[in-house]
Amino acid sequence: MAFDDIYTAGIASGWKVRDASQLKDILRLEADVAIIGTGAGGGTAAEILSSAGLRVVMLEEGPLCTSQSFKDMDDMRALRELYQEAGGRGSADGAISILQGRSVGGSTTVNWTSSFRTPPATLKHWAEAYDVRSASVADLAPWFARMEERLGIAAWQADPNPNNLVLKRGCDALGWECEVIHRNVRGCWNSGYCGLGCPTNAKQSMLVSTIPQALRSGAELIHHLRIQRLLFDKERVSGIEGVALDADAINPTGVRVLVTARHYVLAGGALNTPALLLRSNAPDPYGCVGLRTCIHPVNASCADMPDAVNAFYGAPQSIASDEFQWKHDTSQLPGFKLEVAPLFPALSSGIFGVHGKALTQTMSRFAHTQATVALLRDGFHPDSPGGRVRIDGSGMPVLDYELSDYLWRGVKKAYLSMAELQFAAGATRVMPLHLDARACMSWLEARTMIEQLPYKKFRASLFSAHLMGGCAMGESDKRAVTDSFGRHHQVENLSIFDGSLFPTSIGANPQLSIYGFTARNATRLADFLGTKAALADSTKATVAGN
Amino acid sequence: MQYTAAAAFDRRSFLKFSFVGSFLLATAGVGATLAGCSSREQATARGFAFLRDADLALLRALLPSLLEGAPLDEVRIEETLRRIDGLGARFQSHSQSKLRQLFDLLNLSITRRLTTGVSTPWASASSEQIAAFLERWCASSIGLFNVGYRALAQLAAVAYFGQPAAWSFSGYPGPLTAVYLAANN
Repeated sequence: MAFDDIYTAGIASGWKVRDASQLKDILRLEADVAIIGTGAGGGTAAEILSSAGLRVVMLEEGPLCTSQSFKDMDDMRALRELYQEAGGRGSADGAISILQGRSVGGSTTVNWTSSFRTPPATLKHWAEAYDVRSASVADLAPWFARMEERLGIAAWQADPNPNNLVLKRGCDALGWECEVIHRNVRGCWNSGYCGLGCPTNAKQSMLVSTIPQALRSGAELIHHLRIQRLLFDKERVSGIEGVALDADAINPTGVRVLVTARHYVLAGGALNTPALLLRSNAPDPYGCVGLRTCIHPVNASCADMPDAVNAFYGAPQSIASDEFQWKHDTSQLPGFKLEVAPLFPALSSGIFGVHGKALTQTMSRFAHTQATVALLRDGFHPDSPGGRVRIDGSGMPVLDYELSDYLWRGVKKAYLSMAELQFAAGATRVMPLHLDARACMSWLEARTMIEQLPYKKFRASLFSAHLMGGCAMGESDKRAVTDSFGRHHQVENLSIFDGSLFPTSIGANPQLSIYGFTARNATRLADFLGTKAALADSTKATVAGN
Repeated sequence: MQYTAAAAFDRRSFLKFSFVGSFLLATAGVGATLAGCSSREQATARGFAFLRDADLALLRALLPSLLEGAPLDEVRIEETLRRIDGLGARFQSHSQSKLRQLFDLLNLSITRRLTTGVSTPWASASSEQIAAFLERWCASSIGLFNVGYRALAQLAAVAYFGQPAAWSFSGYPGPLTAVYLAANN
């Protein structure tokens, strides 16, 4: 194959990788650290812990998909194989569409490479309002620098594609700030297929970076394995119970997998981690688990441009604007970040919320369609407390998320900003994604229409690709599930190293925040476990010598 | 937007029924309760992993309206149904049961008539009746119907436009050639 899939050669050289769908009998595993989930947090933790000499086992529910399958560059295949519920996941009442990854590498395998350090204002807020310690800009800087170096994160050098150029041109015309996005790529071909699984291995997802390195260091990976529950013995985790899934990674085969370890790390992401704790009846004396789940609610505006945009080609996100993020008073409405979204025929034709002639007319202009998105910064104001993760009858995560008038004011302001920007950049027609919206031919017409739209669930088209919170970190055990380093407040041998730690949304695409916090937390855990191991060995030796 | 004149029922009782209707569906599956077997146990259609025979009949009737304006022949329709099936098969059980409840609501004659205004089986519904139902659900103030509308529109769009045969309609040339060649040679 033209782009080596990394795993075939690796497995041939001795990497311990197991496909649970092939198991015939119960499997029992034992390790120093068991990591549930192989996304941004799981991959980062696996590499650090295994390079510290600890025996690590990585447990992943999704399949192992590599450049071998990405090479078809087909979005329908990507939807089916790489996304949670084939992209059909949503909030409990269906008002918000949720995009999350599910495969080895987690959401990093399908994300659009955008990398931002946690904004200083967010870190300050977490320290002041949530008693998160040792997470100042200065504290985290070395960890961000380390992960930027590790994953090739740097400002994108090539020209923005036409989709991104609209954002830049609009901002420049209106005097709005904008910046070039940093991307976790090495030797990028500028294809734009990041969201379908990078066909060239240039995107430094966990799949091609930290997980192979962990495997080289002797870690073990089991995929097609759904973790049912954590087992507890008083206030310690005594084991993990999982079920093997079939080849499609949908239904259990009936074969069980049991894992025991000295320490357990949860890294399944902000919906799966709280759900696992809830269905395991994990200690939660103050009822914190599942609360404050923030999602950067997204609303969008599509523009019909006179020249071809071809929003499917070229680095998907290279320009962003914080014009409305930090500058204005957020006591009345939330801040938001403006970015663009790539468009592919299967992945994106469902976002328009129209059918029949309206749909086919829109799709006939697909190559001229520009898509701007606004990511609302939720969780920072009392009227924006985030949503709540609970579990359904079969223990699977369900997200309840309400929008207050405060958030709706942000949604309206975002529609207005996006339309103004798109017309300033030369759009012929602009259509906010909302069931009651129609295509507008001028900014004046759009502004009038947007002011009159009903701001209600189900009418506005809402999305989320960034799930954060549900297991907030913080020094107070009454308000947080873990301490400032991801160590569970009540369960000594349990850590959480994923986006569920964040007490509010971040205000920027999350991956680098997860990398930075996890690098710091996993290093600290490695020191702690290493010390414990050294002490245990020396105690044994002392006893043996007597 | 007004309900069409064809819906000669009182709005308040309609709302009351749809609350009762969705409660019934949520707890048991209306079709199942009346037919005496769990709708979950109703077999999937031959050759399909998720859609049942009644779901296929429903979708076959709706697709021409959902995709009006796009080239649609028997081959494209069958491929679209296959792709919808493939997507549904990958939903979590929570989402699968919601989608099946939507199909059941649309297929059971009582709830079909009251919620969509269509009193005949879908195969004999006219395109005007189907168009009116889709418009009604899109415009409805009842969130359940908006979600149902979006689900139908989205499934049809994703399953149709993702087909290579449909790419030229949307002006998508297919995978970026240079990278595709490098990855596949």
